[in-house]
Amino acid sequence: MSSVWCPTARLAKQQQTKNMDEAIALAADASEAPIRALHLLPCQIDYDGEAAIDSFFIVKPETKVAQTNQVTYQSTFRGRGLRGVEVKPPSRYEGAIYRESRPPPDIMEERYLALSGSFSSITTWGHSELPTPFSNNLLKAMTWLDVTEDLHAHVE
Amino acid sequence: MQLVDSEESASWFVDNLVQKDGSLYIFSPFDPLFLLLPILEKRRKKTSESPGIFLTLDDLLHDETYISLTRLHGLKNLPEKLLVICDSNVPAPGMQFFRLNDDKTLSWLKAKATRLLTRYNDYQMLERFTSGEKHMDETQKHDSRLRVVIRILGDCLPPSWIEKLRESYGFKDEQEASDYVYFDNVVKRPLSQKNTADADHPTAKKKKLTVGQRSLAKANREGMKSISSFFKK
Repeated sequence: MSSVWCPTARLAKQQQTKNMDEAIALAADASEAPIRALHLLPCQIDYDGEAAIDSFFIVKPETKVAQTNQVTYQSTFRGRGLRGVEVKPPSRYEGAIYRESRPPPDIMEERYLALSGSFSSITTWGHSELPTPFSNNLLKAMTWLDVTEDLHAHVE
Repeated sequence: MQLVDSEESASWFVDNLVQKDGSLYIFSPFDPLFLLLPILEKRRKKTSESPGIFLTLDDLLHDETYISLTRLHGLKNLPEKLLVICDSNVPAPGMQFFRLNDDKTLSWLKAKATRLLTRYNDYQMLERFTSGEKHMDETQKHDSRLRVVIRILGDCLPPSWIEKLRESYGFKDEQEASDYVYFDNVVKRPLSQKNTADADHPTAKKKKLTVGQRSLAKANREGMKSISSFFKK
């Protein structure tokens, strides 16, 4: 399973045909797919598959409000305290989750990713401390978005 | 597209599923001119005597190695965009030919650089990078920022065009090399190297963004190739 944020699908949907000529959507519209709860843990778990996450991974909102209006959470995993922060894709972006599967008969590709869900936020976690763009790859990547959008904007 | 690599230190919880690989892909807009620049340059067959040949969009987008390039035909305003870096020749209505124009391309790259410089203060990514500017005067600060901007642009350019852009701003090679090391260490440093690196460079705590090559396998069906794969030809 891979998570993909795809902005162009949403652009194409919202802004009608004019903009479809100016951008190529790389993924189908995910807005109808079921919304899934996504947590990005700060450690690698050597397992792929089902687990009783909702019974054992209890997430509580932090009562103390962070200075930056962030929505923050606390939890524990294997006895270690975690602090998490909610990350929302920018408004032009759409969150989609894909799962590698067998291609349908009419698609001649070696690999095929089927849409398996959507998301409107991710909670990313740090050990003991709240993740920041300097300690967390996801938050870091978010800070890159405005740079890369300017880099790829059409100029004359 | 960029891959936010988990560097084997993150996993996902998705509802009641565990996924070991905590990676994420982010698709953001990409300027098709960056893709076409190396192709335009290679195919025009420029020589010292001739500025090269004109080519149609069909010619340019047909490549046996990168068959997905033809998907760029879907961009209806692509001919218009190409005029920013190309000369055009219309021998008959409905037939348009393009040839890369070096001067236009350089102006286009400088316009990109100017845009990034103008918005430099807004980029959270570069916040820590600007901390080294305290002791600089305005000219030094401008040059330092320009080098960072060229480095950012350089990720999308063939080496020869990085060189041309630097020359156009009067930058010399040797100084540039040390700036690159600084930028790569400070801004793009992988998180996993943090512990060892911090001992040597207490300020170098930023980490890298892994740009897409490793995600190509997944991207292929969606019509994208790593841009750097064009430059290796």
